[in-house]
Amino acid sequence: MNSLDSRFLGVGDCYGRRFTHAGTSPYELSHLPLPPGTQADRASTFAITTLDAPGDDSETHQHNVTVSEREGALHAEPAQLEITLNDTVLWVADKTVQAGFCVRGTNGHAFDSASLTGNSLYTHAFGLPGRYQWRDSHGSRLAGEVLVTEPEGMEPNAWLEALSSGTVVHVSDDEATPATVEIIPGQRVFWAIARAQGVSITDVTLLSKPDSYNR
Amino acid sequence: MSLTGAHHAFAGVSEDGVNKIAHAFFGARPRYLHYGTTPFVGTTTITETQVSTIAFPGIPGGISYMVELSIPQFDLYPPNGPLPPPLVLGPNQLSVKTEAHITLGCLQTGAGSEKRGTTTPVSTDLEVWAIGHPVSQTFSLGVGDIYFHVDDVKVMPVAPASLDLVLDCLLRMILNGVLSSLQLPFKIFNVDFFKLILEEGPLVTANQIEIRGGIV
Amino acid sequence: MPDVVAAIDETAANSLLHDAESALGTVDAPSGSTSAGPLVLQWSASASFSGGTVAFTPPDVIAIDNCTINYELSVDLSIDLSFLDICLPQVCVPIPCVGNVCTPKICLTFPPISIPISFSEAIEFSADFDLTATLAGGDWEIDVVILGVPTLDLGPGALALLEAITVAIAAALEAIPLIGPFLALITVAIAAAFGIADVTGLLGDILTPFVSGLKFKLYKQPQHFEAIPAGGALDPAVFVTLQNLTAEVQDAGKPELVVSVDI
Repeated sequence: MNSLDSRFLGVGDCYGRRFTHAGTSPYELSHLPLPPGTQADRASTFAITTLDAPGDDSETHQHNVTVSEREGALHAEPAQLEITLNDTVLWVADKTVQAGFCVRGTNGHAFDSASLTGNSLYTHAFGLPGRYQWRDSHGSRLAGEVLVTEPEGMEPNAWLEALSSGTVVHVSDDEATPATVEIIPGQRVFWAIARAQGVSITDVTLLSKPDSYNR
Repeated sequence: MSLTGAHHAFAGVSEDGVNKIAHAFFGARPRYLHYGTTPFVGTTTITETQVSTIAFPGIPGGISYMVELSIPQFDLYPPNGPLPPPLVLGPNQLSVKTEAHITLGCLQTGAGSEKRGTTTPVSTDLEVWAIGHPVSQTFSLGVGDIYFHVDDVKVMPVAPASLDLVLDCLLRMILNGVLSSLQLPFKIFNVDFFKLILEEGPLVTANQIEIRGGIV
Repeated sequence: MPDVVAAIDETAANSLLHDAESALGTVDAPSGSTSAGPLVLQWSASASFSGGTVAFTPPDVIAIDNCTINYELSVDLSIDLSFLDICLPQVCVPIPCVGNVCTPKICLTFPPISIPISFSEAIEFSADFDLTATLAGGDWEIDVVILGVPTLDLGPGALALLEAITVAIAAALEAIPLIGPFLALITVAIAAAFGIADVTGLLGDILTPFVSGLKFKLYKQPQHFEAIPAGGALDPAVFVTLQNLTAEVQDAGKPELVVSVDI
């Protein structure tokens, strides 16, 4: 629980995707990431339908999909979501998801939470103080560091209020900006992927051997 | 006056207690009161002890005999009554009284070729008084026993005086032999309440045998 | 006059007492549990006794001063955190070319945490004991049985136990992810529910059964007493019957414990 690894979204993690093409994007939920090109065993039961934006409406919206787990099977609520072009969908697990999950689109406009590309984001709330070095498990040079520091002498109420603040790391190809961020326990870091060929944000201590997806 | 005095532990057995223990001992092991040669005692058992005949030239098989004693009766200082002179019971002494039944296997033989004869037991009863004192022996820390040593004996009544002396000596030796078997472990003196390291005694006083010391 | 009299002074009695304490060995108390706020404590305890100094008080009281009860506690502490409303608040950040992205409020639940705690300590106490001699099941026994329930000074032990519990709870909580901001709330709630008075009361409940009715056995021998062991097939053991065994404290110039018995 609460490990820094965008390949396995746990309670408190979010995966977001901005949909920039109209059409229906079926997707599936799984406990483990599937290798690229793998066909799903069964037909996807979840879908995002992106409609053209009417006229001069340039306002974008965010839609949340709650992922839950019942009797070992993952469910999305809402299972079928209609959005407008350039809206963002954010998947977040509720407390029933025990082992983590992945989101993967199954048609041509593919998206994969285990392999982040442009217009994606991943966010993680850090629970324990420490120095977290992260890098892309798929083999690129993308890497960074998050320093989680106990706030000395901070009043509990002030600490709770600070949890409402988030920190953004911008990812473009192999670069993370800033590469090092410092937060307090309970706060979130957002990795906003502007451009990438499919990366993950993974704690280096979880990487014992090269990922099978390495390019 | 405390019982332990300058020591940490005391144990004492009264005159009645000594006599009860003696009854228990000789009741369980009567062979220590009954000694005899063949033909009187065939073999040593719980009830009787076989001893050797007295070898004598010309007496086939030696002189056979039997000695039987009654359970000794102990009197701890101070005396309960007068003792036969010249016995006097003093402090730290005890007196012992017993009845000795002595039997001789009297061999009746003929002359010449008729030497093999018949053995007829002839007996006498003697009243035996003795004075003595308790002795201790320690085997290890807190383990030891008390036994009794006879210092003087008077056999009643014997004449002439020279025979008296002989019998006094004989019975003194026999009584010492018998009483040497009566070894009372320290634990009897305190019914095993503690293990006594003997430092003082055994003393005989006020109709009691007393020992004192430390404890293990 | 009894047939056998044995006596010991206070110095010898100290030695017998310490032997009796060793013979008593480690005693187990019934396990128990208690709850206080979000805490549930289940415990088991054992204790042994050592030391102490004997003083005789005629006719049948033996005072034992500074006897030590050495006890060991095994406590299973459970903390139910469901009383806390632990939620990560909504966090909004501006993402270039996307706009404002807000994570929803995410509420967390933690299973009860279980913390094993081992604690041991020694407490001295003093008490009067009643000297008794009884014939039970064919054995003569001399026991000293505690009179009343002695007062135990639980203060230092309670403080130490509370410290041990506090340290164990802190260590267990700090290992829970995302608990950091809520530690202060949890600590306040636990401290309000379980303080030094509760620990003192708990220790009293645990230790009282050990000292209530405390009995040290000074002597036990069969009434059918083997005075002289067997010396072989021809020399059977010699037995006597012990009767009318009494034990009392006398002071004829020196306090002594005197045992008398008839054969």
